[in-house]
Amino acid sequence: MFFIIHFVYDYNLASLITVAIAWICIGILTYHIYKKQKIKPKIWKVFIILAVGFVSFSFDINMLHTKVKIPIIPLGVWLLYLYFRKKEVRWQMYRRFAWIGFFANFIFLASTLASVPIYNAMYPENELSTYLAKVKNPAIIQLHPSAKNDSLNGNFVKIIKQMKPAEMHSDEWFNGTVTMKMKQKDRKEKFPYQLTGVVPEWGSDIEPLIYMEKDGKGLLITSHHKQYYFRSNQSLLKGEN
Amino acid sequence: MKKKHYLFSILGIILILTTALLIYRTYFSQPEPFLSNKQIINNINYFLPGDPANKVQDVLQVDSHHFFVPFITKVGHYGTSYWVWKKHEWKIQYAANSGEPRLWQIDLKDPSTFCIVWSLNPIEEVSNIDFYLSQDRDYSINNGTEHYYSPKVQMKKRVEVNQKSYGILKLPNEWSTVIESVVKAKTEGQPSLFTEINLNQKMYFGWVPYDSSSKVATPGSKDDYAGYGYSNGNKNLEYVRYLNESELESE
Repeated sequence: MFFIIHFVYDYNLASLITVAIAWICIGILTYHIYKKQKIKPKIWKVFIILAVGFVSFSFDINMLHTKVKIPIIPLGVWLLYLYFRKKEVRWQMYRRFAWIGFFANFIFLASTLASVPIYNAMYPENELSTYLAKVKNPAIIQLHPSAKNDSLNGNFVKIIKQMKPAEMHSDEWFNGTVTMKMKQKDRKEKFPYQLTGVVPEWGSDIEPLIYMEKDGKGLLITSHHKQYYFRSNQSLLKGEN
Repeated sequence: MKKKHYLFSILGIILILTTALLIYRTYFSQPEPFLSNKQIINNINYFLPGDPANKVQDVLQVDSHHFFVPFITKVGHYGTSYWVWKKHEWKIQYAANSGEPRLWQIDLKDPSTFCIVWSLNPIEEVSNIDFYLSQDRDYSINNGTEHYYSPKVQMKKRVEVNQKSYGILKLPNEWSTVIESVVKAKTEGQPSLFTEINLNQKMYFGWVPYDSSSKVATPGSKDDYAGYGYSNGNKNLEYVRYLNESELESE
């Protein structure tokens, strides 16, 4: 859209770190210019000029599966220039800070782009530990009448560590259950449990939804608006061993 | 001159205090005791004209700020009214001269506050109701490789309605856990402070009534009056679907 003030959209650790670095860069840059400049404006005025200079005309595009803002027109700098048109000396004093304000848009843009690979390295999407790092009060909820009145295996934590990514066959899962011949009351659910009381990796800012397969050997995880499937050799259910 | 200043500041302080007190009273005060039956009837008839209420069946408290009041109209319809303490007043959030089960989302941000309320005509002779939290089975494949599967959810809670033809069911803990996790996964990455729950189309509530001989009762078979209702502009109510037994999966 038009006048964009940068907010932190993602509260994951990777974004917070890169945004913090962006702020430090802007701070250093400003300080550097301030020191170099012979006529020094008041500090609080510098902050205002920075903020106004930050205002820009930008548009959103998707890069690396992330929405980023590309600033194009330095609207704030332009406004400041209009304001200081007749005040040449003062404009010379503030000009650089106004441009730092605009340039800050690019620093934030870079920080957003940098946060993506950092996030992926910190929280690999194909590792179960990203979604299931700690157990708080692990339990299962029966979502379907075909679920057994079972509970979690005592070796639950150990088995989870050995689970491997597996291929999803959602079409087969669906069509194996929903057929013309099979009456609704005979349909059994492949994922009749939900796993609760587990905590994702710290700082990942995700809230995964975890279904468990009827044999207790598979976990189907919904996160990042995608799904991930993990299997083990041993069942996570008590009754299946 | 000095005196005038003095006077002004005192006036100012009084003004600020009264405003604060008014705001507190309007938005944060503890509810007053609930209305008398006569007041209830008057309010309902003002809110829902045309089919005057005659008798309050019962006054059921949901929490400190919410009441559910089933009533009977002069012509014998079984109505329902939903009350909320708002702006220092007991207000009707919704009222109807019918009472099929509905989901009342007391706090839209917190499914543990949700409840199902109903009031049926006793001539329907319903003795049990099975309530369901459901989600349809579904799958999709995007770009040839990105699979998505959502399992069938069908969680049941049986309620006995032998004694009373009306009632409240607070959602079982497991239900609110399931709803909450589905909503959270859906709104992942969005600031959660103001997210209100909007059950996706796939998740819904259902009910199946049974008579004393465990046969499915058809609501409306004996009392086919459809009824109508007025709401006070709220999104806190959600339909509970009447389910056919053929739609249900089993063990």
